[in-house]
This record gives sequence, structure tokens and C-alpha cells, in this order.
Amino acid sequence: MVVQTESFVMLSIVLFVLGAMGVLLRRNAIMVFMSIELMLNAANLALVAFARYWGNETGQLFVFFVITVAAAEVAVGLALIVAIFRSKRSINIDELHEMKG
Amino acid sequence: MTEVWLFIIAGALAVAAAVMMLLSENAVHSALFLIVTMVCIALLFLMLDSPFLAMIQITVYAGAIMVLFLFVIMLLGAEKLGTADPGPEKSRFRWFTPVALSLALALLFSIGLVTIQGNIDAQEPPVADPTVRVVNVSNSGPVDVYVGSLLLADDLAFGQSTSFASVPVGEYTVSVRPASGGETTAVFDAVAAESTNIVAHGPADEAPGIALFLQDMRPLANEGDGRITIFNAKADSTNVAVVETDTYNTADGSYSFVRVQNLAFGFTSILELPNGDVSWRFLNDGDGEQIIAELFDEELRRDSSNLIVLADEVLPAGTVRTLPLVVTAPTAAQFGSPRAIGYSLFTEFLLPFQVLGLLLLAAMVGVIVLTQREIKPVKKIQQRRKVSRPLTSVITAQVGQEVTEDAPRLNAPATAGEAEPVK
Amino acid sequence: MAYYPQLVSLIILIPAIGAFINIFWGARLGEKWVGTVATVASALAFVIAVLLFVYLEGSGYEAVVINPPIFDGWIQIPAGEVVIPWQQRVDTLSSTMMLIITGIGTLIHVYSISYMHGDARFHRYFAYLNMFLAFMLVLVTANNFLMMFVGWEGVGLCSFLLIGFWFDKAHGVGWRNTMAANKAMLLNRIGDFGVVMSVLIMFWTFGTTDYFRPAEIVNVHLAEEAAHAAEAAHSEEGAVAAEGEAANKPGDVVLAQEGEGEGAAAEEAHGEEHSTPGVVYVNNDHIETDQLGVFGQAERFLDEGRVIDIGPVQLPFSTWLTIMTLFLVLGVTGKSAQIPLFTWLPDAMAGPTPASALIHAATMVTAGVYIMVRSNVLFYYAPVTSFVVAMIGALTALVAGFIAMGQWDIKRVLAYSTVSQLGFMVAAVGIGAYAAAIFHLVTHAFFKALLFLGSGSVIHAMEHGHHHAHSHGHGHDDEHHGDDHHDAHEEEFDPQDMRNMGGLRRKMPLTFITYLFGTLALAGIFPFAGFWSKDEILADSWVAGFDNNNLAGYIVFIILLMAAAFTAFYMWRQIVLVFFGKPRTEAAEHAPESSRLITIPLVILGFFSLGIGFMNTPSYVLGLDNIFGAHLFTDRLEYSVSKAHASEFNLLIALGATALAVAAMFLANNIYRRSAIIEARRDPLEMLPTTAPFWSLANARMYWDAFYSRVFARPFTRIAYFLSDVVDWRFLHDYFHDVVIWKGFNAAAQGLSKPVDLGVIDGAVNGVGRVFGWLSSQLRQIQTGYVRTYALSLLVGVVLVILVILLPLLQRG
Repeated sequence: MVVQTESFVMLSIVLFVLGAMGVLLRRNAIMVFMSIELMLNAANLALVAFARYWGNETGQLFVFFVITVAAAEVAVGLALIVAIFRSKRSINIDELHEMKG
Repeated sequence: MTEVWLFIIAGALAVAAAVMMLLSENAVHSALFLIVTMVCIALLFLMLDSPFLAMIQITVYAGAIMVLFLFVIMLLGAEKLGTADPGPEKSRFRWFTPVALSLALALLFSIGLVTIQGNIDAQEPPVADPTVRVVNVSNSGPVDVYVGSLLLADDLAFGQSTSFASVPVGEYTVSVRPASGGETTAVFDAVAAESTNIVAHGPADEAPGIALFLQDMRPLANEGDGRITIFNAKADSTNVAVVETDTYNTADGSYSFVRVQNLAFGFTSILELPNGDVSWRFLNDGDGEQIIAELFDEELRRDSSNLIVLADEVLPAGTVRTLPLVVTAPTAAQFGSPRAIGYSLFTEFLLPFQVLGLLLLAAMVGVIVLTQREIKPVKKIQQRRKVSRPLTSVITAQVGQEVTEDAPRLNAPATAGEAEPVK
Repeated sequence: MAYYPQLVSLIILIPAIGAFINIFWGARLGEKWVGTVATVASALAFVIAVLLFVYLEGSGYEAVVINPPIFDGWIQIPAGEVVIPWQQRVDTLSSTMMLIITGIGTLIHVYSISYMHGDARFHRYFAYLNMFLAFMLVLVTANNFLMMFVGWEGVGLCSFLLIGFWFDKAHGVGWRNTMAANKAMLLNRIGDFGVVMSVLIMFWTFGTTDYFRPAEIVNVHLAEEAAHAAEAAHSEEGAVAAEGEAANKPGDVVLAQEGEGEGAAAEEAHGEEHSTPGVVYVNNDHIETDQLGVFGQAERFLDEGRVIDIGPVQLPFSTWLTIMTLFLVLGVTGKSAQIPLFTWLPDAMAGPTPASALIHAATMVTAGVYIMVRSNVLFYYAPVTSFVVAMIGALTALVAGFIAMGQWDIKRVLAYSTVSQLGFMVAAVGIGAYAAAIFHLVTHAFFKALLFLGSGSVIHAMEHGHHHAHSHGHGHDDEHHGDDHHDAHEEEFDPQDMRNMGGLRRKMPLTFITYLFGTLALAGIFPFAGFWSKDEILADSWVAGFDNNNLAGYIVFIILLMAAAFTAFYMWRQIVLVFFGKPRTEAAEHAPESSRLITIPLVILGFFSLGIGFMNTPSYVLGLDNIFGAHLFTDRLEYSVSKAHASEFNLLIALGATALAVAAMFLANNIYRRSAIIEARRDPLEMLPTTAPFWSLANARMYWDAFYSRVFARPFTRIAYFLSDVVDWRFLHDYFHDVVIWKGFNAAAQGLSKPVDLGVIDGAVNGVGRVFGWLSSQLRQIQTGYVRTYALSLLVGVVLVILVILLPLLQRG
């Protein structure tokens, strides 16, 4: 094991934080969505790293599930975005605040 | 060191692409940068012994999902949307960016600190428990086998075997108790990640003897091969030779391909063979070329570790014959290989897998419902019914004058559906 | 044979089912089916009554007590050890009553089918009739006073319903009918109060209301006689008769049946409560006192001279006996229409005539006589009560007979006649002639039902005739019209007024002949039924007075003789007015003979009016006892009426009474044949100065009703008016409710609502609400609606959680 697990975890944290920044700072809903995907990938990376470290395949199976769920999520999320765009002609999340209390 | 460099390059590329993704104004560019990140992550997966996930990452994520993203971006024409013209909202979120940045940094540093401080790699990774199984080739009737206080086999008859059971690491006393009474014990040191066979053997009128030997259950060097461990448990202490049946030379009665020679009582011999059938003869090595047992077209399963125990079986008639008892168990799969993941999916994770299937189904339905355009019911076209009076017109035509009188009738509304509103 | 008595529960159930069917589905069934259902129910009950009669004949008249299965524990109060079973008693007395009720009842059902034809509430009428039968049979088959009271009240209810049956007739008639029904109900309530008191005292005294317990022997005298006769026969047969230590000991008289050692059997039987097979008890000495019924206990108590405490009152048992019987007599005066409560019965003729015949002549009104005869033991030992009863009965007989002479309404005459005849029966009970009372009850049931049905036939015919005359004018044929309407006549024509009749003899010969039979029976002319029963009462009172020196006997004898003369007089007056002479109105002129459904019951009843008297022929009269047997009925009755006795025939009294009756009839004939005065709608007696005051007294019903209305009804109404108008309405409602409660409540509510409710409670509640409203309005600002703020709060949460979880780990590691 030449490269330490630690390094993978650090990389994954960096990617995760970058994704979080994207979610927080971008206004385009699709961009937010892609940032979420980035965060998922970061988490996947950590999972796989730990799986190898523990010699346990469960982590890899989780990654498999995460990827599948992400696929479903992307489909539904994009459908939502399409639907929102149809009605509001915009996907700027700052213009969507109907949930204001 | 190439691995380190590879990690550094791939990691740096991934981070750089992620940053570019965040910064680029054009959503299409962002998506392309994200693809780069994902491919880098797939490379890292490969480095982490997960070839299967790496392939999925590239095909499903970088391929299918990102294609979907690009498609939607192009469909909506949303490349530039949400970037320009922050408008009046901008002032409102002036505080937002610094707060978000500082929080993200706090997150980064806290987890990073823990990761570095926790010194993950200094910790011992756990190892697998030792496993043990019992094969009974003792003629003294069914036996109960205890490993320590654990009842490993209950009432195990001749020729039967158990599957591997894991026990904690430690020293155990193996105890074989025939149903007829008596007990034979042996001391057994269970070592982590090792698989041990306990073979009870012996003639009918004696207490069974115990033979302990390791079985190599590790993944095979070449996937698809099979491993065979031959153990000689013949009580008459004959040495055994194993030969390929097909190589029998009729001229001199010898075998051109001898697999094992001179296997004494209590010894094992391990062979690794490609997948296929085997036809072997077991010869009495000491007494000329006498065939004492034969395997014909025995299937050698791939990725399995087979055990062949040569034992004497006392038949009801009183005669004794040599029985080659074959016990098969799959070897451990290569870590992270599609076989390993598929095996887990179909055993341990079958229920989550099915739930996942349902989730995907729900997602499909959801997508259809969300994107469906509302179908408005077709309005019935209201039309005044036309009434013709063919008979009167015919009569009028024939008579030459109007034969009908105008009956008083109600004034119909000018056009249907536009009746005057009631005031 | 042994299971026949079990049928007695069906005798109640079948009419009840008939009533049930008719009340719920009668309107849909149509007249034909309603009549059929009701009549069949009644006829089935009659068949059962006959079967029970046959059974009793075969079993030596021994009483049977039946526990019908469903009502097993009717009233059970375990805490108070009160167990009042729903038991039915089949004995000679109840069997007699059952036969009369169901037999005459069935005939009246048949009659009613024709009589009530076309009535709007036809099905309801028959439901009531069947219900009446059921309740009446409950009354007579009961084995305890409480169950009897159920029937007693039930028949009272049916009577009320049937009296007021035409409550909706026009021209105030319906109102009069309603008032008549109310009157009957109210006066009966007074009587029922007496019955309830009597039963309560009885229960307090004896701890039971059963007449007799099933194991009891009713008539010890008879049983001992039979035992001795059997023993004598046994000895004569040559069997070794035990020298009978047991038999000679008084109080332990037992008789072993053949094949058993008598002494041993006696020893065994001694002290045992239940009869052992093979041992026949001839008295009740083996039964504990508290295991006996009311009558058995009463005799024991009298023997002991026991003193009874009821609450704080401590009196000897004989006094309590007098009190309880007097209360019972109050009930009897109500139900059997005696002085002072008799005035409801003449008014009760407002109901349909067949119902009057069944309820107010033949059966229900005799319930009082029945219950007195049933309690003959009590009355036998209560001389004061017996005297009072004799006086009431005799006076009622005389007074009602007198009033009957001055009435014009054909049914009213019969009603007073009924009262008078009931007086005869009550007087008979008073002088101890229980068998004679029941005998008269039976004969009277037949001929009075006959007379009522005959009068109904006449009234029916008069209505027809009237309708006919007015719808067709003169010169019509006597074609029968089926669809008459009872309340369709708008003229003030009274079809019941005898002044409107006359000469119906030729118009309705069958009715006339049967009516004549009834009249002769009622007047007591040999050989009609009334002769025998009335003569027996007179003979008994003679014996009571002149042989036993009983004061009541003298009085009763003389008064009843006068009443008998009155009876003959007013009955013949009626015959003359109705059937003889010339028709006085067009209605009478055109009255047709009634249909067959009406005349057939008349003929049957006429036959019985002629012949039923022979069932109790006294000895030594013209050798009749050789044909019919001597006082069979009385002998039979003695098995259930232990104090009953047969009377000696007294030729002198019989001849004298008959002569008096015939004379009275001749007198009436002479007076009323002068129809000229009657055509002026006056009575000949009214014209004679000597008789005029008496006649007007009789015509005014001796001012009895007027007296009641002055003394009781009007003051009562005034008080009620005062209570309702002044106390209830003006004081309670106007002042107390409106002023005190309403305004006070309002004031209090005002006081409470403003400061307390609005100020404190609402203020507190609203204040809390406002606080939360303010809080939420502040909190909702958090909910910006912008996704990024939500994401940021998520991130904040994540950072916090990680700090909380991981920092301690850091310190440790």
C-alpha cells in the first residue's frame, strides 16, 4: 500500500468541500446539482479508500448503491428542474422562494 | 513510487477540475470539468483495488449521468442561466459568501485535522477469523466434534463433512466423540485467516484418530483455476501415487503422467489445475501398480479449493475399500473484483439490491409524472343541431307552393354557448 | 295424556301471536285474513281449553301447575329471596274460565267478522280482541296473584282500547267514547290500587303470592274422603290392612298403594317434604308452613293465631286478613263494576257491541268474581269482609236493576243488567256460595253474551234500515247491503234507542227467538240457564240466613228477590219495546235480518242459554238429576274451590222466584203494550203520578254519575285547573321560570361573561395566542424560501455535529 489511506481521505475531503461550496455559492440549479454529484463522488472516494483499508467489500457495495441512487436522483432532479423551468422560465434558485414562511 | 506520483497527478487533476467546474460561468464547461474529476476519481478507484467500481464510475457516472446533465443543459439552454444578473437579490446575500467560505474551511480543517491526528494508517487493519471444518472418515460410526466448547459437528456420519465455521483466534482442544463412546482429543492452534481441516479417521473397532492440516482457501493466482489438496488417511499406512488415467501406457502398464508420488499416511499434497474434469487413478505405491481407487471425469470447479481424502471404508459385507472423498469449497474471491461484488450482492445484499430496484422504478415513474405536460380535455364543440325538413321541401317542390304553416316557435339563442347572462 | 297440561302455555301464546300478526301486518292482510287469523287463534285456544278439560276429567280433577319454559324465572330477586314464578294453574276453576273465555270468545270473533265489516280499523279491532283473550287467559291461568295482576291490568288495557275504539266518530260521539274509555280506565285504577295493596300485604304476610304450591292438596276434605274410600275398598278386597298407626294419627294420614308395606312407607314418608312415589298424601301436614301457598298458610296462621308485623303495625293475622280482603274487594268493585265504582260499565257500551258482549258482559267483568272465588279461603275466614261483599253485591244488584228499568238505550239496559247480575254473583260470594257464584258466572256469560250479540244484531239492523230508508227512499226491496258505514250517518238518529224500534219480531225472527231465550234465561224462567243459577244463589242465601242465622243471608235473600223481579221487568220491557208492537220508525220498518255470521253465534249461544243450566242440576228435581247428574259442576269445582258446597234445592224458593219473575213480566207486558205513549217517546211509568218520581230517578241513573261528577270530578277539575293555571302556569312558569330563573340566570351570566369570561379567561387565552403569534412571526423569518440559506444551515449543522463528535476524539487520541 504505497499511497496511504489518509491521503485518499484528505483528497476526498477537499473535493467534498469544493462540492459544498458549489452548492452554496452557485445560483444555477444545474450547477448546484452538479456540485452535489461532486460531493457524492468525494464521499464515494472515502468509502472505497476505507473499504480497501479494512479489507472489507461492504464499502464498495455501498459505493455501488450510491452510484445507482445517484442515477435515480439525477433523473428525478433534472426532471424537477425541467418542470420548474417550464413554469418559471428560470432555474435561478434565488428566484425560487415560494417556500418563504 | 509510480503509484504515489499517479495519486498526486490524479488527485491534483481532480481538485483542479473541481475548482474549474465551480468557477466556470458556462454550465457546459462545468459539466465537462466534472467529467474530468470523475475520471480522475475512477483512476483513484483503480488504485484502491476496485476495478469494478472504477468501470461503473466511468460508464454510469462520467458517461450516462453526465450525458443526462449535458442534455438537460442544452435542452433548457441553461448554459448561462443563473450566472449573470444577480439583480436585487445580490445585496441580500452579500454576507453569504464569506460565511459559506468560512464554514467550508472550518469543515475542511476539522475533518482534516481529525484525519491527520487520527493517524489512520497506524492502526492495525483487522484480519479475518480462522475457520475450521470437519471431515469424518472414521468407521467407528457417527461422531460429535467439539472445538473447545463449540459443537462443530453433531452426529456426523462417515463420508460427511461440515462447511467452514469461523472461530476466534486462540488455542483449542479438538474433541471427537463417537456415538459408541470414548473420546479422542488433539490440540489445535487457530491462526488468523487460516482454514484448518479436522479429519477423523480410523478403522471400525478403534477410537478415531484426528488429523489436522491447513487448507489453502486464498484466492487463486489465476482466476478460474481450481486447487486440489489430497490427503491420505488410509489406515493401512500405504503410500499412494496419483496418476492421470488417460496416460496409461498399455504396453508396459505404466502411466506417463504421475501427479503425486509416494504420498504417505497423514500427508497432504496440493495441486493447482486449470478448470476442467479430471480422471485420476490412485495407485498403491508400495505394492506395484495396484489401483486402489479411481476418479472418473470428476469436475474441477473453478475458483474452488477441493479436498480429496483417501480413506478406508468398511462395507457392510466386511470388505474394505478405499474411498476418494471429494469435498469442495469456493476460494475467497479477489478483493474488489466483479465476482466479489456480485457474490456479495447476491448473498448478503440481496434485499437492499431489490429495494434499490424499486427505488429506480419509483424514480422512473416520478420522472414521467414530473415532466408530463398537462393534457387538457378536448372541449366539445358545441354546435346547433341542424334540423332539416326534407319531406316538406319535397312536397313543396312538387306542389309548387308552401304547404306548411309557420308554427310559433321560441327564439333560439343567436349562437350556442353565448346565451345572454342572466341578470 | 300426561302432556296435555303443558298446552296451557300455548293457550296464551296463540292469541298473543294472533294479536301480533294482526297489529303489524293486519293492515296489509285484508279483512278476510285478519278475521281468519284472529278467529283461528281464538278457536285453537278453545281447542286447547277443551283438551285441558278432557285431561282434568280423566285425571280426577287434580290441579296441575305448569312452568312455561321461557318465563321460568319471571321475577327473581336473589338478595331478597323473592322468587315469583310464572306458573300456570290448570284446575277445575281455571278450566271452567278458559272454556268460557275461549268458547264465547270464538263465537264473538265469528260474529265480529260480520259486525265490524267495513270498519277502517278492522285489523286493530281483532288484534285487540286477541290481545284481550291472551291477557284474560293469563289472568285465569295464573298460579299467583302477581301474574293474575298482569292479566288483570292487561284486560283493563284492552277494555280501555275497545271502549274508545271509535274515538274519532263525528258529532261529538267520538269524544263521548273517549271519555267513556277514560272513565273506565280511571275507575279501574282506583280498584287496581286495592288489588296492589292487597297483593303487597299478602306478600308481606306470607312471603309468597302463589295460590297453591304445586305439591299442595287444595281440598284436604275431599282428598281424605277419597283416601278413606280407597282404604275401605282396599280392606274389602281382603288385603291385610295395616292396623295403621300412621293412619290413625291425625296429621300423618298417608296411604300406601298396593304392594308396599304400609307401615314402612309411612315411616319413610314421615317428615319428607316431597311426595315419595307410592305414597299418596291426603293433606298438607307434611309441608312446612313457609312452603305452602297463600291459602294454605292462611289456614295455618289462623290455627296458630299468629300475630303479624307489617312495618310498625302489629296486628293479629285475622285483622290483616280482613284488611287484605277488603282491599281486594275494592279491586273487585272496580273490575266487576260494583258499588261504588260501577258507573264506568254502562258508559263502556260505547265500544263495539261484540266487544261489549265479550269483555263487558261475559268475561272481563267477571274477573272480580273469579278472583274472589279463587281466594275463597281468605273470604271464608274473613266474616266482616264477607258481609261487606254481600252488602255490596246485593245493593248493586238492586240499584242497577232499578236503574235499568228507566233506560231507553238497548245496550245501556243490558249494561245495567250486567252490573245487576254481577251484583248477584258478588252477593253469592259474600254469603259463601262460591260454587253458585261461579255457576251464575257461567250461565250469565252465555245468556248475557247472547243478549248483547242480539242487541248488536238489532242495532246493526237498525243502522241498515236507517241507511236503507234514507238512501233509497220508500218502496225498496229488502236487499242486503254489505257496505254499511258505522259512522256514516249524519242525522241524529240513535239506532240504540228502543223508542225507535218496535215490531222487529217479524223483521228478524231468528234474532227475536234467540233474544227471547236470553231474556227468559236472564229472568230466571224454568228451564233456562238463569233459573238454575239464580235459584242456587237464592237458596244459598236462604240457607245462610234462615238456617245458619247469618244476617247477610236475610238481607241478600230479600234484596236479590227484588232484584230478580226488577230483572224480569226490565227485560220484558225491552222485549216488548224492541220486538213487539208496530215499527215506530222507518229504520225499524226496514230493518233486515242479520247475516249468517251473526245469527249462527246467536243460535249457538241460545242453545247454551237454554241448556247450560243442566250441568248443575240440584238433586231431587223432577228426576232431572237422573239424567244430568246432581250438581256435577259444584262437585267438580270443589277440587279447586275448597270452601264450595252444593246447596239444597228449595222448591218454595224456586216457585216463588219464578212466580215473581212471571208476574213482573206480565206487569211489564201490560204496561208497555200501550205503544201510543211510547210513540210519544215517553214511558208509561213516567205518566203515572205514583211511579213518575221513581221512573225519573231510574232514568237519571239515581243521580249516581251526577253525584260523582259533582263531588269528585268537578272539584278535581277545579283543583287541577287551579294547579295548572295558577300554580303551574302563572306562578311556576310566568313568575318562577321567567322571572326568577330566566332573568336571574341572565343577570348571573352577564356578570360572569363580561369580566370573568371575556376579561380573564379570554384575555389569558388570547394573550397566549398573541405571544405565540409574535414568536412565530419572528421565527418565520428564518424560513426565507431561498435554497441556499437552507443549505447553509445544513452545513452549519454538519460542522457543529462534526465538532461535537470529533473534537473529544482528538483530545483522547
